[in-house]
Amino acid sequence: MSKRKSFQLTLSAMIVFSILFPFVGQTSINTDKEKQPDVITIGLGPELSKEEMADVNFRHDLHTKALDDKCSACHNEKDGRLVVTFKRTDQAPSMDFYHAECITCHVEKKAAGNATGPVADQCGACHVLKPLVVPGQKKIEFDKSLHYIHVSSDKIKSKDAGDDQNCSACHHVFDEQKNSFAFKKGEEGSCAYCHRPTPSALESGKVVRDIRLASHQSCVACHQELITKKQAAGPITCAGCHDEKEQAKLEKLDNVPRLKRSQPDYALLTPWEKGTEKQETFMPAVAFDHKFHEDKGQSCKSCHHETLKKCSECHTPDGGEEKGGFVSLAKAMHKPGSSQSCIGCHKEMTTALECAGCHAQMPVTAQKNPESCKACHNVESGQFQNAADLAMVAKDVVADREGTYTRVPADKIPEKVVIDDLVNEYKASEFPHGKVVRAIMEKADQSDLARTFHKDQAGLCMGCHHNSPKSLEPPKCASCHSKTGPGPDGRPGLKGAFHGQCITCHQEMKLESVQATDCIKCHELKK
Amino acid sequence: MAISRRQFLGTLGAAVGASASVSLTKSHAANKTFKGHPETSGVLHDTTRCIGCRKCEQACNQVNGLPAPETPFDDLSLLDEKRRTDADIFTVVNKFKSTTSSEAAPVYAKKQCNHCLEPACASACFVKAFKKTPKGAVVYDESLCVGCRYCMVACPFEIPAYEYHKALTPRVTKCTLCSPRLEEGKLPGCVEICPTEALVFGKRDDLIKIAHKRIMAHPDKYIDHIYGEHEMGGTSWLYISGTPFNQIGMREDLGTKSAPELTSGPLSAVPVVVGLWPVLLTGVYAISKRKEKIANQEKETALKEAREAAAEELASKLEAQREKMTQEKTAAINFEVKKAQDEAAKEKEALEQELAELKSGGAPEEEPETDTDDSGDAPSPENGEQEE
Repeated sequence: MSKRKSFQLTLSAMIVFSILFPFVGQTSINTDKEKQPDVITIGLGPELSKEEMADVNFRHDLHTKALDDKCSACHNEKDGRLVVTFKRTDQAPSMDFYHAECITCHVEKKAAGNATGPVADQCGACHVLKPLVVPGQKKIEFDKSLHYIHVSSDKIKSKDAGDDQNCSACHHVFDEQKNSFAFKKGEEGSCAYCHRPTPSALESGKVVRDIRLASHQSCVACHQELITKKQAAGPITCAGCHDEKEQAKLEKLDNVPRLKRSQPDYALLTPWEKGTEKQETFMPAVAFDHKFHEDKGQSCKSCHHETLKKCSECHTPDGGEEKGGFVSLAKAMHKPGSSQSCIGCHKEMTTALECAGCHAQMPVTAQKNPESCKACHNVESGQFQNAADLAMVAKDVVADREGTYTRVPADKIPEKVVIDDLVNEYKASEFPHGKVVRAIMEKADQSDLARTFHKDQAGLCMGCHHNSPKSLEPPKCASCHSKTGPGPDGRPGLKGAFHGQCITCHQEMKLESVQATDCIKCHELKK
Repeated sequence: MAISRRQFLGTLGAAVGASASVSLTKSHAANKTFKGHPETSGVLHDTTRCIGCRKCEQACNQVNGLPAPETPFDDLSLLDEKRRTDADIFTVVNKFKSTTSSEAAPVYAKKQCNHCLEPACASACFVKAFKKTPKGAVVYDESLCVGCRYCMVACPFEIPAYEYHKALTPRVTKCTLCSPRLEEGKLPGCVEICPTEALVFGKRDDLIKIAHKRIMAHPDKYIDHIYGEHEMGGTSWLYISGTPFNQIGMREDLGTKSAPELTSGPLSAVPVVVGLWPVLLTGVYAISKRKEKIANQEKETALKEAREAAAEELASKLEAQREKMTQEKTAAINFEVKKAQDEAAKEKEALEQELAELKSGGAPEEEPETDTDDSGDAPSPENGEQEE
C-alpha cells in the first residue's frame, strides 16, 4: 500500500472515531469502573486537594498471589499473631513509610528480574486520578449461622478458663482501671457496639479500634493462624468474605440452637415509666415473645442496634433522652421504614408474595383500624397489678394467643359469586369465591405473623371487601363503586374496582396462571 | 383643604404612573402564564394500572372509523416492538421493561396526542387549522390545512401524522380526544373501554388531585411526579408511573415552557424587524450615498485646484523662459552688433590704412564701400539667430 493511501485510511479512521466518541473517556470501556472486593484505598481520603497526589487503589489479593501467600512479606507478627496493618504493629502510618516500604520491595523484585509494581519516579502508576478499579466490598453479615459455626468449632480455643464455650476467644470487655481486656460471661454483645465505624476514644484517652480494623484483626489473623497449622479455617483473602459469589458459598445452617446469654424468654413491654401511677390511663402493655423473635431475626442486631440492653434503657417513654436519640419508646416501636422497629419490620414482611396481594393495595394514607392496636397492646394493667413476675404474665398471654384465633365457619363462605353488573360483549363472570378465600386462608394459616395479626379470620375478607365494616355479609361492590365510571374524588368505578382488585392481587402474588389480558379466562365472550 | 400646586401635580403624576405600571404588569403576566382554560378536561393515564390489552387501540380505531389493521388488536405480540402513531393509528401502547428488577412485570404506556394547553402544532400552523378548544381537545380543521406539515415538525411528542398515501386529499391526522363524542356526552373511546381504569377522563384540576392522592397513598409505587402537569406548559393528558418517565418512552428534556412561550421571544422581534429595518436600511443607504457625493465633490475641487495650479505654474515657467530668451536675443544682437561694429572699425582702420597707403598711393572710392557693407551684412546674423 502506498504511503498516501495509508495516510488517507488513518485519517478517515480518525474522523470516524472522533464522530463516534467526540469526548475523550466517553467510551463505554472507561465509564464503568470495575468494583473489586480486594481494592484497599490508601490515601488522605476526603482531605485530597488539587495539590495532593490521588489516592492509591491497592489490589490486596493480587499482592497475596504474587507473594505466594507469604503474609510475612508485608505483615508483622505480635504475640505470635499476624497483624493486619501493613508492615507495622501499632504505629500510625506515614507517607514516607508507605513510599519506602512499597518501592523498596518493588525495586528488589525488579533487580531479581521478576515482574513487579512501579518503582520510584513512577508516581502516576500508583496514584491514579481516575482509577479503573475501585473498592467494591460486599458487607458480610455475621449472622446466627456463621456465629454458631464459630461457637461449635473445636479449633477455636477459649481464652478464659471459666468459659466452656468459645465465647471468650472473641468477646471481650476493656477494663479501664486495670487497663486490660477481660471476658465477662453474660455480657457479650455485638462487636459493633464498641467498635464504631471510625476509631473512638475512651475517657482515659485509649483509642477503640474501628470495626474494620478490629474485625479484620480478629477474623483474618485467627484464620491465618489455623491455616499455617494446616487446619481448616475461614477465608483469609479479601474476596473470601467480601465477594458476593464467595459469600454464597459459605456454609449456612438452617437450625441454629438458641443463643442463651441473659435475655428473657418473654417480656412485658409497658409504655409508662417505672413507678407511674394510674397505669390504666396508658395504652395496655404488650406481651412480647422474645424467644420467638430471636428465631426470626438474623442476629441480635436485627433489633438491638446499639446495645443488648432493654429498649427502654435508651428509648424512654417520653423520649427526652440524648442516649435514645430523642426517639421515644413508642416511636422506636412504631417507626415505619425502620427494620429495627416492630411496625417497620412487620411491614417489610407483608411484601412477601403471599401477603402482597392484599397488602400492596393498601394505601399508606388509609385510616388505621384502631382495632389493630389491640393485636399487640393486649395486656390491661389490671391483669398484672399484683403479679410478682411480669415475664410470666407475658408468657401466659402469649400462650393464650393461639387459642384466640377465630375462624370463619365454612358455610358462611359463598362458593360461587356471579358478577353480572357489567355484562356487555362479555358474559357474566362466575367468580370462584370459595376457592380464592380458601387459598388466602391457607396462606395465612402458614404464617405466624398472619395468624397473630389477623386474629379474626374475617379480617382476611377485608382485603377485597375493604372500607366497609368487617362483616360476614359485606355490601355489594356496586354500593360504593359506580357503574358509570370513576368519581371526581378518584374512587374507582365498578369496572376499575373489579379489574383493579383481581388483576393487581394476581400480579402482586405473581399468579401466572391467570394473565391480566386473558379476558375469557374470567368471562366468556358472547356469541 | 389646603393643597399646594406642587403637591397636587406630584400626586397626579404618581397616580398616573402607578395605574400605567399596574396595567402593564397585568397584561404582561396574563400573556406569560396561561394556565389552561378553566374547567378544561383531560385524561389521567396511570401506567401502573395498564395491563397492555390494546383495547384502547381497538376502541380508537372503531370510534374514528379507521381502516382495520394488518394484525388484529388481540395479537399482543405487537407490543414487543416500539411503535408510534401513524395516519391510521391515533394511539399506540408500548411495552417497556421495568427497571426496578429484572423479574418485575413489564410496564405499558399509551401514547397519543397529549392535547397541550398551549399546543406547538397550533402555534406553528399559519392558517389556524389547529385549535385548542376551551374543553380541552386540540382539534384540526382540514378545510383550512394547506399541507405544509409544520405541525408535524413542531410537535415535541411526534404525534401528528400525514396521509401520504392520499394523492389529492391528504390530511394531518391525530387523536381528537374524541371531541365529537364529548359533544354527545360520551367518554373518549379509549377511556370508556379501558378495563382497569388506567385511563380516567375528568376535569384536569380534579385529575391532578387524584394523581397526587394516588402518589401519596402509595409512595413506594409511584415516581413523585405527574407528567404533563407542567411539561411543555402543561398538557390535558396526564401520566403517573412507577418507572422513570424517560424509561417508558417519554421525553424529560422538554422543560416547562409551552411552545408559544419559547417562540414568542424571537417572533416578537418580527414586527421590529419588519417595521424598523426598511428605515434603518434606507438610512444606511442615504448615508453611504451622501458620503459618496461629498467624496466626489471634494475630488473635483481638488482636481480643479490642481489643474489651475499646474496651468499657473506652466504660464509662469513660460514667461520666465520667454524673458530669458528675450534677454539672450538682446545679448546676441548686442554681441553681433558689437562684433559687426568691431569688424567695421577694423575694416575702417584697414581701409584707412589702405587709404593712407593709397593716399600715399591714393584711391578715393574706399569710403562708400564701407557704408554698404555695414547695412548689407548686419541683418544676416540677426536672421540666423532668429531661425535658431
